Amino acid sequence: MDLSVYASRCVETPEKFSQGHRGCVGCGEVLALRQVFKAVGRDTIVINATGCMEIIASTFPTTTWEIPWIHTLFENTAAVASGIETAYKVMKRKGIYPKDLSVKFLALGGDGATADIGLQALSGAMERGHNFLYVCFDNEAYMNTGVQRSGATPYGASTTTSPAGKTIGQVTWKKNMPAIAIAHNIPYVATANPAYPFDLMEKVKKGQAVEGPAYIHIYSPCPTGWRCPPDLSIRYGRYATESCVFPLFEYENGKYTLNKDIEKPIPVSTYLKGQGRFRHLAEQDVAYIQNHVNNDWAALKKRCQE
Amino acid sequence: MTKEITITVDGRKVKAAEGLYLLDVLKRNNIYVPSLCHHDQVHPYGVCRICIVEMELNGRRKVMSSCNLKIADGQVFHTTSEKLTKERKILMELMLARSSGAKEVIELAQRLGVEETRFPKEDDGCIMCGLCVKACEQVVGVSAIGFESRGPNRKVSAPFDVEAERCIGCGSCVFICPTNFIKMEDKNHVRKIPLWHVELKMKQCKSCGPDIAPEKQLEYIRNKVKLPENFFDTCLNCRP
Repeated sequence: MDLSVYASRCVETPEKFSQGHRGCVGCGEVLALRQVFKAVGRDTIVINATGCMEIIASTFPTTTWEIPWIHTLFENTAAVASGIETAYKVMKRKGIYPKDLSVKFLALGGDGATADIGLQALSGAMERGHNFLYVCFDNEAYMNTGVQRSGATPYGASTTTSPAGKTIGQVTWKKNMPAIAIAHNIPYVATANPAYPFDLMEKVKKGQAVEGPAYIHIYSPCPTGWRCPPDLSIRYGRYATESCVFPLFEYENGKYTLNKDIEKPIPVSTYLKGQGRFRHLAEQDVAYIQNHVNNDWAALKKRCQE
Repeated sequence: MTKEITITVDGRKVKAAEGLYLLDVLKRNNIYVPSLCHHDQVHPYGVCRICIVEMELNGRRKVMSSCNLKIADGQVFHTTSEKLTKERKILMELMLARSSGAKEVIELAQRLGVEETRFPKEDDGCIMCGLCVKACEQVVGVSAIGFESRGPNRKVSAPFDVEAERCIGCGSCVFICPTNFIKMEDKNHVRKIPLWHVELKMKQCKSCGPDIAPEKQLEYIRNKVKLPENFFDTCLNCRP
């Protein structure tokens, strides 16, 4: 459902991620984070992994976070989240916290902190069934340290540690993080995209409301790392969904739902074209990627129809 | 710069800018006061009365709604007391009686300790917060919908309960509704909002095909910001 101009003005205005941070121009991740915060209440504790969001928003002595926030290492975000959640439960039982207060826990991590370094802790926390929401901001490489490849870098992308030349760039396919989360049999998994803000906010609300772990994978266009014009980051986000490279779906108690059904997908080349990280791709490479995307999309559609 | 003033809430000193509404200040300072009809984007209406607090006035305590109360220096407020709890519980019971099926109402009632209502139950779904009417008037600026009748028969509706002529199908009322009472559906290139008896034709992109938005809405925006006539012929992706 497209709500465009007017309904977006009815979103609450106070920012929990305030202005003055040092994000790059056109950062899709900051936009996604702000949208996430529009959907959560003030009774939220944020557990933030190292990454762009931590670096740009907490340069001493200033801070951008207007809600309780704790910075953790790459590898233990989910572990710290589960610790805080358990401590809160105990304190509530002992009567230190009022019984009617319901505090939510929001763990944030980049794709490196989620898919590579912090995967073990995340898997553990999901398996133990802690009541928290994990949000992964996927900008498809380690952007903060200067565009190094991660497990979530897509096939063919050129990064500083997988440069195009002798090879095609990144030689492996993107790690399917939502599928890994779904494999843990948790109550709620979803993918979202800041180009579709209402969908994103709705999913964050759902993810916070469920009892038990929830996982949301948010596609975050990064003009700096993708080498595309900063004013087009939202457009690339939209292209990603409309070309079925990054479909929007949710998985709720064992059932898949497709949130954005694309009747006529646009060609993948529209999405790849214009991004500096894909500029070396030849026609047969694009056809190869298109074929892979088509197969993935068909498989997802089949799952959603079941 | 606005003047900074200090008020006392539950014995705690709270600093805030002058002229703010009390409920906004309380929310910012993480002091919980329940509210149903409050929204940042529309003027306070003070109709649900759930956000009541007690203000000290000449040695007495007066019960007031906090959403439409502008604060002044040195005021003293109490957000929890026996009287407030009792009044909120009665309000919640009445609201439960009107909309016994609304998830949000049931949740809030449980949080305030109300499990059952002693009044005859109805399942309306609308809690009469008036946010849709206010949003249509103040955010969108078309005033396509309003209130009808008075007293127990009062309800939100399009004028004369026939098709809302001025509705542009923007969906603000659908989005702002706290209980999801207003429904909207996009199907076969038509946008339907059954509550306002509205069916609007969607405009398609001339170069790639999919729906953009209702024709009436695009026309409204185009006239408002004086865009060229063919501006909305293509969708966001096809526009340069």
